[in-house]
Amino acid sequence: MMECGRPPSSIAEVHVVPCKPTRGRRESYNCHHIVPKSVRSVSNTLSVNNPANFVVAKTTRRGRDQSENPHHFWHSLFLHPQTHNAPDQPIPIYVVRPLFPFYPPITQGYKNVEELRKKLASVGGPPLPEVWEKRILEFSKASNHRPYVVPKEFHEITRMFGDLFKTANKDSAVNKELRASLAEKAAKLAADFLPAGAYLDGKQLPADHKPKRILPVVETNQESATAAQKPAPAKSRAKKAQCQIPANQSKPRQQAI
Amino acid sequence: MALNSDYLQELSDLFVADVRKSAYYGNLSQKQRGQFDAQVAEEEMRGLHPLLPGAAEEEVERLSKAIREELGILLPVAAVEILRQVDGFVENGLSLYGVDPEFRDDHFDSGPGILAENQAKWSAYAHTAQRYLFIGDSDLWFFAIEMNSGQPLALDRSTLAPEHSFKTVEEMVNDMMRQALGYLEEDEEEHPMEGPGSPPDNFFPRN
Repeated sequence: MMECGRPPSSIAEVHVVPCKPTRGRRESYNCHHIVPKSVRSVSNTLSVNNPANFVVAKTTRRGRDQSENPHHFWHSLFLHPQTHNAPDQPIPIYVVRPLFPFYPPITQGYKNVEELRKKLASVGGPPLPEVWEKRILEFSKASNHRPYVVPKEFHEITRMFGDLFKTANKDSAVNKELRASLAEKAAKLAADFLPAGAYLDGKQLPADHKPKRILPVVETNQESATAAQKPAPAKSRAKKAQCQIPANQSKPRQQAI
Repeated sequence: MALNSDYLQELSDLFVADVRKSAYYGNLSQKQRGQFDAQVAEEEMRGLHPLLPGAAEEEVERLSKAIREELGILLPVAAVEILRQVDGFVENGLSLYGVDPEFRDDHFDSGPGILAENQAKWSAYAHTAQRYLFIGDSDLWFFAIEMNSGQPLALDRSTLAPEHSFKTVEEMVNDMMRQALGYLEEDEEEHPMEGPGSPPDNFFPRN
């Protein structure tokens, strides 16, 4: 539902009593991005999908220019084109698992703990526990101290996703047109990453489709996953069943942290 | 000061529309659906906001008494004024706390209650939390009133550090409603906390 400009919610109960105001109870959800600290199984007994391997990413940014918003980037590139015009039948959905810890406000790499502490202090962040500092530094090293950035070629679709939420675009006809336009544009870009069988803007990528970039795919129904799985043709599953792709990675290079 | 009636109306419309397209509504009998529709129409005619009512006076009184007895503080007048206008809501990952169900005549639980939420937070963060009356939360923030000064504040959810101040509680609740409605633009005046404590690029994310 984020692709429709609103997170999902459901009605649990409505209370209608004469002469009393109508009340309802609803379950509401927000769009979280759950980030694995590692896509490599931390131990023989701990699956990549173990909750201990996850953190919740604060992936949103405030401000008018959303073209470098990683949250909107992941939605615009992968989720929106897959869910827009999706057929009314079970299809595979590939979702992003962004890599810890490159999300705002920590979107850069650090060479030493002093750099990290200075940056955190400059943005008013609280000091981190030593173990977290260590993890961030190890991760920075593993990624050659590169910052998390939304590549320039995706700025346009990322900004377009942010535009879906603008007040001026709330009119349903306008919003529908914008969503269609975004899906069409993003589908072409997403095809470079997604494997054969994935649906983009309602059309399935053919069996002979070869993505330009191979991403590690973690199957959500696996008990124990490994870091470097090449995308296999996805099996048809319920829409909720998802394949997950670490964000912004051309090849697996994560280390267990 | 009144809350922004456009936001209240928009939230109410959203909630009513959600009910009408929900499985819950679909499973109601024709008679029950008729009762719901009739009551919504009647409340709209009276200028109320269906599914987003204010608290009744006696409910607020029971809540105030319980807060005085159990938390040892007075429920701020500003919080009472808010409750009279909107008795809590949950939308878009954001909650405005309302009257706890045990203080309602019918005990209907429509969302998180002020007393229960504050009891939980006061015990979880004993050293700092007792300075604040929490009136709502989102994924990143707690929305609170500082008890000594009456200052409405947004606190960092993980550190409880004040990150943003508002001129009035109404302004804060209006901002909460904007977030709940998913408005991303910054077209209202904001008051970031001065000095350290104000990350520049991820204030009040609205989705």
